[in-house]
Amino acid sequence: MPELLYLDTARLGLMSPRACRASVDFARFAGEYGATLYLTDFLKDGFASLPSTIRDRYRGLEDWCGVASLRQSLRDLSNAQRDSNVLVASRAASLMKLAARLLVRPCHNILVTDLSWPAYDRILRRAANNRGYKVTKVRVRRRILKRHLTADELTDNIATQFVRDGCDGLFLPLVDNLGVQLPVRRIVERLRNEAELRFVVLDAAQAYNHVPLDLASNYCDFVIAGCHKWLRAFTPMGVGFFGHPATADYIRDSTQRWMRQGAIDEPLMRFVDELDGGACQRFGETVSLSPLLTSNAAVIDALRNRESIEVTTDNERVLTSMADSLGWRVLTPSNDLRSRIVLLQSPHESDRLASSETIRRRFLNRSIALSAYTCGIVRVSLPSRPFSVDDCAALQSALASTA
Amino acid sequence: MDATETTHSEHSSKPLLASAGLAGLTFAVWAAAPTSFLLGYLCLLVSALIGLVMKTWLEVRARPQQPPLLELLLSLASDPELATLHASLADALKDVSSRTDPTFRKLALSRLNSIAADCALLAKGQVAFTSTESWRVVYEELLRSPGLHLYRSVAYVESAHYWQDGPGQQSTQLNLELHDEGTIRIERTAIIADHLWPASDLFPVDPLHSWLDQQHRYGIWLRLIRESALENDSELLCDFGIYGTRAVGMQTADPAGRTIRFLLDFNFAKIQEAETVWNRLGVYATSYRHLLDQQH
Repeated sequence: MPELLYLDTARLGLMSPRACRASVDFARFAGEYGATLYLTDFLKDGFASLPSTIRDRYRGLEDWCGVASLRQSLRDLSNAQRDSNVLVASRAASLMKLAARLLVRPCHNILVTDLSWPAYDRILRRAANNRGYKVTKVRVRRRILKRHLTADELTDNIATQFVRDGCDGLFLPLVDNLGVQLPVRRIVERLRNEAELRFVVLDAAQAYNHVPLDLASNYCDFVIAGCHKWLRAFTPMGVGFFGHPATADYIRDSTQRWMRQGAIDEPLMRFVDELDGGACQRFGETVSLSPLLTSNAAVIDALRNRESIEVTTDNERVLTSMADSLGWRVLTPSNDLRSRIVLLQSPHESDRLASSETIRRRFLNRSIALSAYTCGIVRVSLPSRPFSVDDCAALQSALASTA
Repeated sequence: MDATETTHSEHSSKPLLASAGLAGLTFAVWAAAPTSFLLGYLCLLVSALIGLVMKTWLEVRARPQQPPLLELLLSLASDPELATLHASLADALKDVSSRTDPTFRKLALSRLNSIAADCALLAKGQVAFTSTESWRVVYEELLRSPGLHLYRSVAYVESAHYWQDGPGQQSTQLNLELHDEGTIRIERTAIIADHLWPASDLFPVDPLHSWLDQQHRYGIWLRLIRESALENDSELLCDFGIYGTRAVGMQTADPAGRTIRFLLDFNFAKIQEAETVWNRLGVYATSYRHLLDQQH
């Protein structure tokens, strides 16, 4: 059987080698040592705290150096400042709930686009509606994909509507699930000049370890990311970044207060804070620890293998020219809004009528994993290594076949 | 039966006696006098009746300032709480008027004048509080009232200890609690005297700065204005709060920053006026967030 060409990172990334080793060795460790003090020491002080006999048997856990080290690695990967804050949660959705609460305190009209992940959109709307506030949606996706709106035009569009509708809060994805990379920094700077922008939340679920986050410049207030997609930890874990000098105290104090009050119920966040601070809650909830170790290992893999933009550009060129020659329609945005996600639409009527599951399976039969949607659209997450000859052949064969 | 009741019953029976007498006389004329005399007698009675009606009508017209008592009673009858109060006040006034001691009357009139002034204020949709404690209770009741989602406050701060006394701290705590739990959204504009926020300093002096920072940490949106910035718009120098679209509260503080008078106004026109002032203040204001940005 030929090697699988995995092009579905936008859904769930292939587990990185270190993450895989950490996961396997932690499962073995759990089977042999359970919740002994070895585990407590290991989680608090890292791999070095284990006796050498144990260390020799679980080399896959050697990347774990404690929570502070995990936080620093996550910061390094997002290019955030050293004094910025990192929150860790069992689900990114928990962080979105926190972000929604943070947004609706100072803001009364929050601008979103139709590029937002629907589940996050719902969380935000629920939080806003509970207080009688407004969420203003700007529809841009169609114009980006069909009319090739440029970054400047998109910025103009959003800024105009923000000012016209008297918005004061902003929630945007850095990269949407169909691969549109928003010029978020440019938009935020423009809005700060033209209006009273009170709080900015970014969704980096599709952006973390995919496009540069460049958080050091503090252009936003709160960023939500996940570890199971482009970071390739495979086990979901939410990560929140904040460090803007104007809002860091507000976010830190409010998060701690809401955790104490139980308004934010996030056991992993509580556990990690306890590990970091040394305090231990006697009757705390039991949490899954595996995401901490796999995410930590995946971040180290990502930091050591910084991916080249040239490779991605070459891959995109190869894929789009191949698809184009076979009659597939390339649904890419303008150059300045592109990411490593490419959308293709089949020219065949039979594909357009087929279910997404059928199309996905057809590609899998040719050893290609990708996402498929209705209307014969497939989503390809470009790999960080160049396409090999075999990859190209598999792609050619899959694209040429009909349902 | 006391003397008052006797007099009342005597007054009410007089018209009946007069009517009975008149009826008896008419019957006697009908029985004894010829028809032409009877007709003349009836014409006289009708003329007298018309004359009386016209006299009453002219008397009513001659005194238009007199309250339309019947209309008043009818409208109060539809509000049982106020009707009870009205009856109780009327009874009390009647009792007061029955006393003749000159010293008592002087005292009573002075007090009643003051009560009348308060009632006039209430009639205009305004409630005044001179006791800090009593207005804080109303303030809390208003902020917690269903349907109120937005509270905009303008604090005219002339003392670093503004809202730093016990009741002030309680109100701050209430603001923080309600904003944090999502009951209402609070926005505050602070007009700060220049000696408390020198032009060379990024932030106002403590404990005012701490008071503002605490609110910022709860997500309350703050805007700051130096008093001198309003020297050409001095009518904007005021201390008030806008409670959704329901009321405006105007506060007067003593030089130490303690609230000494609070006037609540439930007139929509006043709310609109306050909103205009709020928007005009926005032209001069700097957000606290902007100051924090400048700090780094």
